[in-house]
Amino acid sequence: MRVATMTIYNNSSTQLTRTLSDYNKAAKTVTTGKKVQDPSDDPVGYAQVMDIGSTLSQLGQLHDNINTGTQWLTTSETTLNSVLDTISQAKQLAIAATNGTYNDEDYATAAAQVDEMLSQLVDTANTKVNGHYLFSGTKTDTQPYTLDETAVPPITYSGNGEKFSISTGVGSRTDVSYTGDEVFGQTGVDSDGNGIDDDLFSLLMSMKDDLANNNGANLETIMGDLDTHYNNVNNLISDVGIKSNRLDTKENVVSDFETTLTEQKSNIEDVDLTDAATDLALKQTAYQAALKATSSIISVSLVDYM
Amino acid sequence: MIGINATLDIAKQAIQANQYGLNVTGQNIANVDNPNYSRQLMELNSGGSLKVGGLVFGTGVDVTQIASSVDSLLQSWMNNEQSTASAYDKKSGNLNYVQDIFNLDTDSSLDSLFSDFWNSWSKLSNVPDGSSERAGVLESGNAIVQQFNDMSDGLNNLSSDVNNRIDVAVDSINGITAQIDKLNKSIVSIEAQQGAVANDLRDERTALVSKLSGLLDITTYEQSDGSLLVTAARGSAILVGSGGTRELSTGDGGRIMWESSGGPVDISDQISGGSLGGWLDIRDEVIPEYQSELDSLARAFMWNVNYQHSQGVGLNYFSDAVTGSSATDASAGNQLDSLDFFNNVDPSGTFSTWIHDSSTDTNTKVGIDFSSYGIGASSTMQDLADAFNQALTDQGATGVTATVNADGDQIIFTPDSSNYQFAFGEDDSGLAAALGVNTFFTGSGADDMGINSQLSDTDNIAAGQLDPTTGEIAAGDNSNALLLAECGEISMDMNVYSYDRTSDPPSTASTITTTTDSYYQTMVSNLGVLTDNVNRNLETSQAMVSELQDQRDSISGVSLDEEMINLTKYQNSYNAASKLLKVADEMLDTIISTR
Repeated sequence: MRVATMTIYNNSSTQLTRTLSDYNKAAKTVTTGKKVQDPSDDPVGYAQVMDIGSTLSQLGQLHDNINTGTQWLTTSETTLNSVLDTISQAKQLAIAATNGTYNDEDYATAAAQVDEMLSQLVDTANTKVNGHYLFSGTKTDTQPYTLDETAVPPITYSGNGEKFSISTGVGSRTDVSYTGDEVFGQTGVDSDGNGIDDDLFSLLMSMKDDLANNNGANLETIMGDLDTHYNNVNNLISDVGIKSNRLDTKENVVSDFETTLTEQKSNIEDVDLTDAATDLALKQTAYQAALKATSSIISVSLVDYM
Repeated sequence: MIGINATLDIAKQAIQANQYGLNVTGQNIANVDNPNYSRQLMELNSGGSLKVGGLVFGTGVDVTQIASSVDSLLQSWMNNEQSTASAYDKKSGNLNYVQDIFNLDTDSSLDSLFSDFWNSWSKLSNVPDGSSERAGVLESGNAIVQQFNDMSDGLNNLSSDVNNRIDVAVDSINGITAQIDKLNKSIVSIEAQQGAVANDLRDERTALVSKLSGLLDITTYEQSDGSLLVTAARGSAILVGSGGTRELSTGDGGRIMWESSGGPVDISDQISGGSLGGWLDIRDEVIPEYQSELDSLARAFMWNVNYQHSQGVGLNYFSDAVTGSSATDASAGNQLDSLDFFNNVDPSGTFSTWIHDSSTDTNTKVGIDFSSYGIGASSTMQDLADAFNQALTDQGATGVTATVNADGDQIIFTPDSSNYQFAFGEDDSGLAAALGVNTFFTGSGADDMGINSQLSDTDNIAAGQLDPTTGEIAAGDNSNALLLAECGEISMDMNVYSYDRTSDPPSTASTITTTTDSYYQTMVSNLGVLTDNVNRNLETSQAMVSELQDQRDSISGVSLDEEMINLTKYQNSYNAASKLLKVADEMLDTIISTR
């Protein structure tokens, strides 16, 4: 084929541009470490990377949620244990008061001790976690218990029966709080306007009255009721344990899933560095060859020989 | 007997021919770098013959013509391929802009913003009354609004930018066709008068034609008088003919109009190649497709969030008037079905409002369902307000009155006195969301999307829901925030569009049921596929152009080596002819001096 002088220059220029562009792209791949840089590089892969990115972001948020849940549960556990201690102390006091060695003064002292326990229990019941009341259901800005021994009923619960819950995945909720009613028993008045008095506070109040006025005549019954409350709180504490475990397991599952997804994402978008480096060397060779060919062909002309 | 003068004549012609040859070689060498130049060749003929005494003598050499090496078929292939390549070139360049508009691989790409938004609700669910968590939700909502607005603006700007470029291209097309017409006339007159081929004018014309092919797809036809007929729009619009030029102009909506003898004709749909074809594809197919899909996405996203948000309650009851942010259309008689989202409303549901009387600390619920109060698609906004007030009376409640604004297109709920506050409860009809009452976003598409102004008081962000039996607000209730955090998982019907500007109507829509996240991923992935295809096609047609260019140059291009040889050849021949002249002259001298 007849070769026009311009063809030589045009082709040389085209070849140099093309090989340099390939070389540049190979270099970019090595420096960024990513083989999918634009959607057009791998449309399907790019969409997968976006999808995995969203899921990873959700999983990151789950860690946050689980931490919040764990915080509520840990505080609940500590607080419930202190309620349990108060019940134990009350029971020990009741046992001591029924062994027949108490005089009037001892009963009065015991009544004062129970009164101390009662106010401590009210304080415990009004515990806050991060500025939110632990036992007022979802009315976390309302102090759940107020004690006024002259009123009927003397103790009132201002919280509600809803529980605070966190999200542990799409459509999956975990309750992480306990309502006051659950922990301390039902308060309030019945339809006749009389106090229900099923709650731990009323129990301690009647124990106090019993010690102060009747020298412990009803302590047997009160001890039975204390046992009922003790078992209830103890059950709640094991429930906290079960929930904490469940959250721990969830946390591990989330972490494992994150690892798997990160790996998948990397498989799609990250380059195999050995391949990329080899490719870079190859593109470099091609560019060098084009340079060599160009400098060779453009330097000869018949003019030089005439 | 043949005279010595005849030999002198032969020498004269030979000298002349070789001198012409040197001139042609010179012209070729001079134009070695001119891409439009066609190599010229001198054609020689051995002249006439002379019969003298039974012998036939030659009479020297004639230069019959200076011919141009042109393959016009190859040239027209190249023009076609050039049209295709430059269409792909414009498409590819503009698709890169579209990719930029999507802000991919940055924190402000929609997929990251969606994730941030859902996570911000999840964060709020962990601390439902937290003011920084509330601010976080508002901020991430704002970022989404900003991105939707920016993308819509970006596509609009690209569209008007393309329109400007089309205007400029149309002007240069008219300029080029005028020049071709002028050259046509010169070529016809020179070739008719002088009987020679006007090589350099033809080269100039070829260059203009190839420039024109880069702007739009054309076909050319050379007429017997040497003039060139140029047509566009698949042969239906004559741009340059024997009667002169017919201009292009841009009409309404940037349509390409051709000035026919019967007035302007729209030829946009018949233009497929050249920069013009590429820009039309971008402006009338790519941009509207992404604009429509962006709107579809924005609407689905807004509806999901607004529907769920309108079911919830902030930290306090509303104590001031609440105005719905969506308006009906006055030209449609303010009928409810002119609301942007009325199609999403379920008429069998109930829209409930709780009225809080702070003097007695009691809550009363008012429910309004469509069938009991005669509300339907053709009811007006005023009808709806009346129905609400009627429902209040029927259900023994007082404290809030519904009215419409002065234009009669928006609903307003106003508490009757400072004793009364209100909040919106469960609404399985979606009416509140359609009215823009207690919603998060306002607007109806990507361009007019905004944040409900009520949320500038972040206490109004509905993280919780009213207690369904007592109508009480609980600060630690996160039930609505938990559901809002999962709105990204809701599958809903969304339209996908495909545009073909040559069909009427240009768009076809089909419905897919998917989540907003995966809809967006599909959009980006489709953009990737399109860009990849266009880039690949661009490479192929550029390779074709360069291959054809090589072939054209192989025929028409100048080779310096060849010209060097020609130079030597003509020089030697010139020397030989001069020698002939000298010998003939000496012979004549000899004869004369013998006298």
